[in-house]
Parts: sequence; C-alpha cells; structure tokens
Amino acid sequence: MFDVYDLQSRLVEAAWPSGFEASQAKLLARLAEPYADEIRTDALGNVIVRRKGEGTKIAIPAHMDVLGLIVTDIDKDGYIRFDTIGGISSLTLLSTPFVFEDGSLAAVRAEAARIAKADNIEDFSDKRDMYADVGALGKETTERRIRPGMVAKYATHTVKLAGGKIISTPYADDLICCVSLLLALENLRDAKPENDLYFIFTAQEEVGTRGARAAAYHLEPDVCIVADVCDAIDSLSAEYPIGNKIGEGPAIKLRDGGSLSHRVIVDHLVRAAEENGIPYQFDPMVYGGTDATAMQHARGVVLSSGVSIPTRDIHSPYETVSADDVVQAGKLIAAAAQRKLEI
Amino acid sequence: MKEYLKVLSSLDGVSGREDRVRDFIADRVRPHATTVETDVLKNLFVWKKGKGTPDRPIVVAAAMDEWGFVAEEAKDSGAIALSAVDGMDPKAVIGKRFRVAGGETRGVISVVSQHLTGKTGTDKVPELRELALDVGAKNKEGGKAAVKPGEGIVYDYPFAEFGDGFYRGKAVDARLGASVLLRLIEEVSPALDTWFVFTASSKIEHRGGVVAARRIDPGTVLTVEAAAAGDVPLQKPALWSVRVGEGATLGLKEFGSVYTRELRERLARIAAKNGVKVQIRSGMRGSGDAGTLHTRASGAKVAGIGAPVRYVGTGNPIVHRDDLEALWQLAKLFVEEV
Repeated sequence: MFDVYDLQSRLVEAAWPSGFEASQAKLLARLAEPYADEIRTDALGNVIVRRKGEGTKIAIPAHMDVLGLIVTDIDKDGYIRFDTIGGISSLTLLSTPFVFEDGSLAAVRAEAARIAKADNIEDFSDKRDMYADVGALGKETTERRIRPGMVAKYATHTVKLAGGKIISTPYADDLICCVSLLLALENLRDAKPENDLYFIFTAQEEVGTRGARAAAYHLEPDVCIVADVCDAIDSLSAEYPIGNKIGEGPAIKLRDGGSLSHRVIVDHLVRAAEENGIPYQFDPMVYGGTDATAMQHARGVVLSSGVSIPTRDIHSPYETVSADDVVQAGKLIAAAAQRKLEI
Repeated sequence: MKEYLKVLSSLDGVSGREDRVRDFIADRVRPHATTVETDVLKNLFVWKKGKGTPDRPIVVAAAMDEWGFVAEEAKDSGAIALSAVDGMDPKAVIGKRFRVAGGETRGVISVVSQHLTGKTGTDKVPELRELALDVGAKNKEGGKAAVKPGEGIVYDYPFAEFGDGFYRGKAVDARLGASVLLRLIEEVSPALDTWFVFTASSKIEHRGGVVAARRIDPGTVLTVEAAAAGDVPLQKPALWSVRVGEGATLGLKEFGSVYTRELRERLARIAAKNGVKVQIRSGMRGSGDAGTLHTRASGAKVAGIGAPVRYVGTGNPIVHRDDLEALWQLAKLFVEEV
C-alpha cells in the first residue's frame, strides 16, 4: 500500500527543476509499473502510464517538475550566479536554502550591507544581484563542484505535523498530486475502467505547461482531468476568502487562470464523489495556469476539469497539505476514471 | 561566412514580408536539397537526405525575418505611421534612417530636436506607436504616393566590414542563423535526414515556428541565432551574458525553452573535441523559435547555438568573423555527427 508521507518524501528526494526531470521520471515509472498496461516516456520527458479501456480517452496529468535555480555563472570570487526556473519571487528566494545536484548546500543571499540598508524587497527585484555561496574559496574551488547549467532545488524536507494528518513539504506543487495519481492507479488495480486512461506525469509545467501541451498533441485525448494544487487560505484573513480549506477533501476544479472547466466533467466528478462518499469542495482558482490550460487547446477540443489538493503557501519552501485530502483525491480520481464518461 | 551573411542580410524581409528572402534561399538551395517546400506563412522547408534516417525528424532552424516596421497610413503631415514587429527598442530607432523594403524610398524616424526642447525635453522616450517615418513628403498626398500601407520598412544600413574583423549592418543579427543554414545545405552531407527550416514571422510571436512544428512534428530541434552580447561600456560584466570574441554561444535556457541537457552537453563535447571555441550564454530572457518548435507538436529535444552580437535589434548590429566561423564549425559538426 502506498503511503502519502512516504511517497511524498521519496518524490521530493528525486525531484529536480523543469527540464531536468529524468531521475524523477525513472522513479515514477518504476512506482507506476505494477499498475500499468503500458508505460512510455516521450521526447519532452513526460511519463505516460496507460490503463486500457474502450470508452472516452481521458488524460490525467500531474506535473513532476519543480521550481528551482539554474547556475549561469561562477563569479570571480567563486559565488554562484543563477537564474530561477519557474516562479520564485525575490521575497521567497532571499535566504532560502537550496541544494545543488552535487549535494552542495547554499542559501541565496545578497550583500549583507545591502540587505541591512534595504527598506523593501523591491530593492532586490533583480535576481542577478543575488548569489549562492557553497563555501567559496575562489573561482577554482567552486568550479570543481559546480558548473553553469547545473540546477538546484529547495533544501527543505517533508515533515509530519499535527500527529501525521498534516504534511509540511517542499513541492507539494505538484508532487503531492503525483502521489494522488499513484494512489488512483493502486485503487484501479483490479478495476475494468470504462474509459481509456492516460495517467501522465508531465514535464516542464512550471515554465509554461510545456510537457502537457506536447502530450495533448500526440495523445489527442477527449478529456483532461488535471491533478494540481489550489490555494488554501483558511489560515489567513483575506478580504474575499474564495480559497479552499485543507482537510475538507479534494477540490473539483471550476477554473484556473487559463481554463474554464466543462460542466459535463465537473458533474461527472461530483457524481463520482457522491456515489462513493468522498468529501469534496470546489476549486475556483483565479491566478496561474495548470496543465489543463495547455491541454484544452493544444490540438482538438479537450474538455477539462481537475482534482486539486488545497495547499497553503504554494511555491514557498514549506507548503502545507492534509494527508487525508490526498488519500481522498486518489479515490476520487480512480472513481471518476473508471466510471463511464460519455461526452 | 562573410559572403553568406552579406548577401542574406542585404535582402529585405520584415516579419510577414519574407518573400524576397525565401525566394532567394529557395533558388540557391534547390540544386543541393532533396526537397524544397513552403507554406502560407512563408516558412521555407528544405529537406536533405542523410546517410541514415532518424526515429523522429531532426530540425535545424533559423529565422528569415528582420526587425523593422510595417507602414500604415500617411498622416496629414506626410509622415508615415508605423507598426513595429516584436523586440524593437524606440531608443534605438529614433533618428535612424529606414527604407521601404525592396525599394529606394528612404526616410528618417522623426524626433523632436534637442535644439528646440533643451535637455529637459529629451527625458521621455516615446512609445513605438507614436513614431512615424519622415519620407520627405510635404503633405498627406505626398506621403501616400511615397509609401503604400502594408509595405515593409527596414533599416537602411548596408552590410560593411569595419575595425578588427567585425561586420555590421542591418539584419546581420536577424539573418546570421539563416546564413549558417544556407551554407550547411550547400556544403554538408548530413549524418541523418535533416529538415533545414527557415522560419517566417519569428518576430511576431514566433508564428512561423508554431506552424512549422505542426508540419514536421520534430523530435530534435537545433536553433541557430544571434545571442545578445552585453560586453559594452554601459553594462556591468556580471550582466554581459556572452562576449564578442569568445566563440560560438551555447544557451542553457531561453524565454520559451529549457534546453535539453543531453543535447547541450553533446554539443559542448563535440566542440571541445574539435577545438571549436564555445561560450555558455548565461542570459535567458531572449526569445527565439526554440520555444514554439519544441512544444507545439508532439514535443522535441531542443538546443540553441549562436554567435554573440552587440546591438541586436538596431540598425547596426555587429558580429566578429571569428565568432561566426566558430558557429559555422559547431553547426557543421552537429549536422555531420549528431
């Protein structure tokens, strides 16, 4: 039996930023293998896990790439200069610890005197003023370990909170949904799905949903049920609190920054939840796209919705989710996937 | 490479108006190509049979279109209203000489003289939309007679050699990649069947690249293009990205793509093995056809190579012959070996 915390920890370990998913792809293919009719990896690195069925062709993507840094230069003093891969704000970057591919650890910093004098984060809006120090003793020492083109990820870890019900982790976005997909595959082991299913661990979502776009082009699905995170703002007092709550079940997607869910798919998910006693809420995400954005119009018409995991502090080094929501998401995806979907 | 760059940069073809460039290249490559095709967007597809056949198509791509404007209506003053392609800086075009594509009608992008305003009046840089081309017409009728709406307007700075091995002139940046591709088709036998794709409308949201991706559905993409070099007095060294004189450029990532590590590292290895000077391009804000070509069909492995060019997008981009030579060598090795 898959365990949410255990899987998330392993996926965080294997994760690297967009474009560098090879080790994660290998791990996911190995984990999914016992539950698949066939598995393949395409040119962009998407891992496509098929469960054969007669009916509607459903793509179920969760992205396996994460945010991070790419080394652009080692400066004359041996400090690492970098650019970001994906959306990490300057506020998040400054003083956050990262781990590089060789295992080197470094926090992102800017000159201490500048930080002391700074009034606001806009003084650091240019990432090129920041650096990462892996214990530089000059250019040559750093160059022995680090070279341009290497990548880094958050050096934070997956931790259980509240007696194990709550998980604090880097990269809940979107590894926790890769976990949902694996749980769904496990739930479907002995099922005879009434749809043709393509579970896709997608590449390069964080840099513009690139993997999903290409996958939708060559797979030509009829339907997309995306598994991604959605904002949980239950811990904060927002003026218009339209976000989701953690622990109250997976959220059925109504829209995101680049896609409007189709009523037929939303209704299908609602029925699948109600027939199986799965708690659910609705995800009305306003900002940011998901793989549904790309899949909807990559080629022909693809009707979409999704099963989202409410997540606090998305894109930070410490995202927070409920383990129960993930277990329920695995059930909901499995239920919706095997239930006959006519469009 | 000089002759290739000279002849291709002298042709006029702003985005969407690449006919002259496309037709010229098509005529030149026909004796060397297996097939030559074009499409409605004016992309040019040149297929050359190799010794072997790849699993999925290999594309080597470069843009054909250059920076410039499309003419709109003449204003009451006789000056021509303009619509710019992407990636043009108003600071770099004001007061510069332009020409109607394929013609002799010349004009200057109007500017309010500092002799009238004093220094304070020069603080504000106008928007591209506000600029107009003064073609020496006295009134609206004169303007209408000189330039028809829809005509391409290109920089009027012909190719020249200057200084210590430098080339300058309009479209030296935009057609540097196309020059390399033309020579590849003429001189190199590819290891595997290769599509050489000259894209149209690369400077209007890479529209040519989108359509090209769907036509060929590539599995491997290599783009060849100018890399903006920041090694100029106004810029601090940390932000140079690439440097003139340090060889061909090898990107890590650009606006629309993270280059495939395996492909990028293979290029670095063949360069090192063959003594071709290569530098890493650290700047990542630029945007080429790589992004659309590798994602708009089934997906492809992608890498980008280039030569450092100062003043990209202006009327006088400059490139050094040694860097251009290094780029040619690297592109040739790719087609012969990869």
